[in-house]
Amino acid sequence: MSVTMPLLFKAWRESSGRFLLGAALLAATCVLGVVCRDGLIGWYAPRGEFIGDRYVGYIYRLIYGGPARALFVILSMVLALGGLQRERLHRTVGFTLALPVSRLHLTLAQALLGVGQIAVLSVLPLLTLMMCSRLAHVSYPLGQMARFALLWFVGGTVFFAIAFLSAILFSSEYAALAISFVFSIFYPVATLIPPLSRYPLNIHHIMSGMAMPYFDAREALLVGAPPWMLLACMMAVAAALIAVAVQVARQRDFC
Amino acid sequence: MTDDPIIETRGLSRRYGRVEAVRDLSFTVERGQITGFLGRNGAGKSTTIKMLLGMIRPTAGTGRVLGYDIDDPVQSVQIRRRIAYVGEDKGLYGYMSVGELIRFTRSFYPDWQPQIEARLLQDYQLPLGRKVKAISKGMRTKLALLLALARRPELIILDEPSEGLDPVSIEELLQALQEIRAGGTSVFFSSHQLSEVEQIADRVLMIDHGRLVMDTLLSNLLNNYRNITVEIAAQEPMPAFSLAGVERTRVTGRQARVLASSNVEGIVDYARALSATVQVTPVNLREVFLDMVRDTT
Repeated sequence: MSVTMPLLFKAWRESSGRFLLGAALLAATCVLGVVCRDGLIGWYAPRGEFIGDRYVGYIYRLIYGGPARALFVILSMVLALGGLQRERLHRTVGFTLALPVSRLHLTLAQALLGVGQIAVLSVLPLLTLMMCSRLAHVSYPLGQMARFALLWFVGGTVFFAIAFLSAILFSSEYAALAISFVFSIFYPVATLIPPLSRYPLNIHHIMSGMAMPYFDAREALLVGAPPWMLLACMMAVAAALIAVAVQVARQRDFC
Repeated sequence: MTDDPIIETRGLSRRYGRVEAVRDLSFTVERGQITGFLGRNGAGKSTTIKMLLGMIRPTAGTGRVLGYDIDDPVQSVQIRRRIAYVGEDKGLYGYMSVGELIRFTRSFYPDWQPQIEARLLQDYQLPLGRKVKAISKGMRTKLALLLALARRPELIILDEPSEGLDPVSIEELLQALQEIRAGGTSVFFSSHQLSEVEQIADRVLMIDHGRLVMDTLLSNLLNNYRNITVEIAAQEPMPAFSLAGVERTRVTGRQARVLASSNVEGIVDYARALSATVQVTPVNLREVFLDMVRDTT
């Protein structure tokens, strides 16, 4: 009998509140962005800053390169919290560890569900913008939204993996979240230091396209082929971090 | 069913920094018995149980449950497939309803017994639709027992099962444990409630400061253990009582209280030879426990 489905169900029940709240916030940001565009467009996309469609520049500044992306990064890290350390605090770890499943299964199910939730969140702007823009008689290119969704998914998975590892290393999930936040804010500074500055290491920039060769800042559009190699490397880093987290969970004592 | 011990430990130890929670613990638990695992709070009972379940790794020694090595992660899954565990705080997922938790647990056990589930649901009057976090601790204990028993385990391990329960719930729990044993399941439960152990246990393991201080059948303890109070005359020196059958000796002034597990007549003769006044009284589990866990002289 497969134990994956019940473990995914358990992981879903543990994280569904956070996920649904986060999805609602992200969707609301997108909807409000479209609905209130007349009031906000002057702030986010001043006349003359972008060539081409000003609405495209506005959506980029608000969603894909702005506050909505920051919200998505935070949500990616919040979704990684929980797991056996939280269960230890909630005194359910004894029940969980007495189930006839390995810790590998337990932690991988949580990671798998988290990555799935990030995939949903990363396409959420595409879905909401597509619907709202049509209703508001404005348009944003579907291809751009799909490509940004890909960049968000990969970047979000890396942030998720960092927080996932923190949540297993530190017994307090607030500490894990705080450390993940600090990392997400201060690590881009480290990428400015030579020789690191020569490489595309800033995940925030990779997600938004800022200062990347595959992004035209004047038109606020992604151009050329997606950076497949870079994205593959980032997914490998995320996988390695999750593998370390699984290994730590397998070795750890849960009293 | 084999005659092999259901639990067997050899030199099992667990250290936390400089603290030795469990020290060189060696014991066996036979099949088909209710074994009470007695000890004060912090004696090492929960640590031992968690090592048996693979939640904590031993720092030394070995342990086998149902013949499987407790320190091997793959074999530990096999152990957990065939035994059941009810933890001290009955920590169940509060965000699930009773029904959801039953369905969730059922999905891990191919040999789940729906008829046992249905009978216990009726007996325990569990509200299927209510969230686990909204039911009382007594109800949670019953739910934990249902989840443990419906898979018909070969062994059920309970860590302080009566903790936080009212007297009626404790009585029902003890009755349930006796029924479980009658159904062929071995029971291993930790407690510091002596009356519970005395009421249902066949065998008693006593642990203190991480060490095993007693391993005996309860009937043997009640039938053969005796308290021998020896009062020595003022001019005589206090003897050492290094005799066969002496488990503990406690000296207060000119009086020695000897806990004997056997050879009572020999000890009495020895004391009388010293012109001492001797009094022999039967013991109960409480007295033995207190004698065992107090500092000895």
